[in-house]
Formats: sequence, structure tokens, C-alpha cells
Amino acid sequence: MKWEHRTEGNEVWIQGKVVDCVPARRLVLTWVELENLKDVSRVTFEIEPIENMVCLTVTHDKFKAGSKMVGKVSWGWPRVLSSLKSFLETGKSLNLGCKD
Amino acid sequence: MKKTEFVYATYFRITPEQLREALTNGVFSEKYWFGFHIEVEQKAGGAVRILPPKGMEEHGDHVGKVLVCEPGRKLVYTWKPKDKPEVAKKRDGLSKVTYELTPMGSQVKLRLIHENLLPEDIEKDPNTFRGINTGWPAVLSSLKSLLETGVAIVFSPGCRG
Repeated sequence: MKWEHRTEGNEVWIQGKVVDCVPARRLVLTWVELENLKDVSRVTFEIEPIENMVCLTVTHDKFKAGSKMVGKVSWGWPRVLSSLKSFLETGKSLNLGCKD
Repeated sequence: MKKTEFVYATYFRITPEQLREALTNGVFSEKYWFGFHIEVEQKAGGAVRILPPKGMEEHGDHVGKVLVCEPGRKLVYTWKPKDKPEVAKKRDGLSKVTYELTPMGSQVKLRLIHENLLPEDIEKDPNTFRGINTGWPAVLSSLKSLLETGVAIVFSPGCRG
């Protein structure tokens, strides 16, 4: 099965295939930027219930040698995951612009 | 040989001042840091006192030292882990913790750097919070919940300890 990450302008930015899916436990995707189709990597989401909480582990690996994606996702994942946690716990996501 | 280090970034919807207080006030730290009382004297050369909660005395008291203090921007302090004797022999000086706070509108970025570590400080078993790499995300996740919702994540004793 395919998946796509679209921008606010509804253009495909990242795409890939679902490699593994165990609902509410594990999701493995391939990750390719449309601008550079050879730069394929892999993302694994693992969800583990602990008492009344969940632990989410995101692993982004299998980068090709010289991949430009490493830098981009190192910048992006902490922002996305912080915003996700705020959204799920307070109902309001973060507003993170491009400034670091 | 390159030393092991751990780097982690989290973004909060609070002010840098609230984050500074949460990171340096021991009464506050008890709520989100596995019950540990962590009091930071906010000046270069100041003390960092880390006291374990009741029932976790085996972790011992620890006094670190503040190396850099730029209130609301940056704090660097020494960290002495509780080592097994065979690990203590390998340790080359204390490890160092850096908090970098960057205001971003109504939000703040916290960048954590824990350096001068040993490979033994990195826990490969994800089912424990003992490792530097497994403990920090749990602490900062709990801190974020506390600051944004008023309720910290409570890790019960023995839960992945």
C-alpha cells in the first residue's frame, strides 16, 4: 500500500510504501522525497502501552550514502513529535515556523 | 576516540522563564523527574544537588557543579552517574549536561546535550529508563505534559526501572 505526505498546497512532498502495519503497535514506511527518488530511507513507528500512557519510538534509518534526508528529518522529527504531543494532550498543536 | 554523547530536542508551549524554573527548582523536579529533587544554584561555580526520592536511596546523592549559567538561555553542569565499579574504572572525567533554551514566539525550544559519556551509558533494552538515552526522553516527556497540561507523567516505582 502507498502513502503520501502532502503540503498545505496539496502537492505530494514525501511518498513511499507501507512495509509493515500492526494497528496501534507498529508501522513501517519507506520514505522518498519526490524531488530525489533515489534517496530512499525507512521510518518505523512503534507504539508501546505503559500503564495509562504510550511510549512512541520513531526510528528513521536505512539512509543511502550521502543522503540529504538525514539533516532534514533531524530538524523535522523533534518539531513534529513535540507538536503531536501538545496536540494530543492539550488539543492545540505548536506553531513552529522555520526559525530555529 | 570520539566520546559518546546524547542530543535531544523538545519544543514547549510555555515561556523560557517557566522552563528555566522547571529545570532548576527541586520542588518542581520532584513532580516530573522520577521523584528526584534537583536544585540548581544559578551561577557559574554553583552547586547542582540531586537527591533521590524515598525508596530509591540506592541511587545516592550527587552534587554537580554549574559550569555556565546564562539565565533563561543556557545552563551547563557536571553530572556524576552512579557507576558499577567496572564502569567507574573506564570513566574519564565527569559527564556534562547542557540545556540550550531558544525562544520561538510563544514557545520555547529546549536542546539537551549530554556529553563525555561511555557506551555503557546507552541502554539497548528499551524496556527500562536507566539509560541516558531512555531516561532523558521519559523525563522531558513528563516535563512537557506537566508544563502544558498541569499533570506530569507518573512512572510508578518498578515501572521499567
